[in-house]
Amino acid sequence: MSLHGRKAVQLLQDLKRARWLPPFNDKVVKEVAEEINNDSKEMERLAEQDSDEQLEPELLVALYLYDDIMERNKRCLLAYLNARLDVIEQLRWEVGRMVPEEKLQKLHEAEKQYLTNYNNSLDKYMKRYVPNCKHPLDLTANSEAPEDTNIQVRMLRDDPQLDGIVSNDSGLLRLRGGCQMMVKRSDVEHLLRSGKVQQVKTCRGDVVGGGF
Amino acid sequence: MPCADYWDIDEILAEEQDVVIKTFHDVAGGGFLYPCTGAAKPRDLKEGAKVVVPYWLAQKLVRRNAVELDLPVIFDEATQETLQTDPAVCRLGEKSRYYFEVGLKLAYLTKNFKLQEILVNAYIQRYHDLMTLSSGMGEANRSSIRKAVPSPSNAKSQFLSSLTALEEDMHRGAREAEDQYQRWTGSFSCWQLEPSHIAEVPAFKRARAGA
Repeated sequence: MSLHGRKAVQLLQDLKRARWLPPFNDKVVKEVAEEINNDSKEMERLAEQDSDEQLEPELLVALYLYDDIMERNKRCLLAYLNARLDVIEQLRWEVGRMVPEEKLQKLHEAEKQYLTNYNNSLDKYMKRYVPNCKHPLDLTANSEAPEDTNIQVRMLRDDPQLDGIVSNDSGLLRLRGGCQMMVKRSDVEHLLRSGKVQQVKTCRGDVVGGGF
Repeated sequence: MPCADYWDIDEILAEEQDVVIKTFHDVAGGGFLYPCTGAAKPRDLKEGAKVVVPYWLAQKLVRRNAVELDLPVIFDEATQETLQTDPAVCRLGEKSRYYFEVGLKLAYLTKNFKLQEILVNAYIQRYHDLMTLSSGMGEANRSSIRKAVPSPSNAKSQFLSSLTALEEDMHRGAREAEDQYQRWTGSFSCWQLEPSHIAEVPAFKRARAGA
């Protein structure tokens, strides 16, 4: 069969192959939309040919054929757009608001707008989940209760943006590449999520008496 | 009816499988389905023409009684027999990434209950073999494939390289589960002092201790 209906599948194959998301393929999306339009015009033309009420079987099957191809293209496009939006929504839950630049570059303008709107809706909900609530409920925080208030972390790479963060409780934190320190969990949670620091697992044998 | 999820990308990709159909009537404007290229393509599709189309198109046309469907080569009698006798040997991943999904859809559409049964049993058998090979919950792997074939690593790698997309997902999940389990058991251990290899108990002392 000719390329009719195959272009849209390329989009989905790219989506499956990419580790996170492929860059938004504007060109192919437009081509598929044009294919749908052309098929629709072809269908109108075929239907005009026969002015009788009873359609010939050849014409009927031809109309079925074009309709099926149009539906298929529409389904592929919609699935592509929907899958991308699902992944984009996950960004907020995984890395919070600090989205790495290389990820943002893969998004279409409309998708970036979607992400902003989604963030705003979520923030609005977290502030007003109950009438007259005093503190916003952070739904994106870790849902497991932590064992200790302080954890040992190691900074993986030197990052000029992060050199010297001021936290509410502990004052100034100097984070350098390769540096290992004991910090409050709440300060570094967002850094742990975005992969900039790594939690160091302490061996329970460190505790005198084996922890008993 | 195999579950039809409009949004599932794997299902959309599975339906791309090519099948052969034969038309019952002429199709006006259907000439683009002919495989020949160039200007010689006729505008209309003739009655009784056999063309290759993707499964999604064939499915819709068959449901409307406009065409007749033939099973593709990857589901022929010989393969069905091999699936019944020894499913692990079949290199299904090479035939199609979505072998079971497409097979079940085709079997349902053509009302071929024998194919349905063969596919389901083969899938379950391969699942058993896959799970035995990939996870042992820390114990040594015991596998029927390894016992049967003299060179175990060869059989294992051959089987693992011929998986369909669904089986690959399961295999990855099993490995991840095994990793998580090892990590969990590892969190209970603490640093142990190894006994020194210099301090050997002499033979006569051991005998006296045992006696």
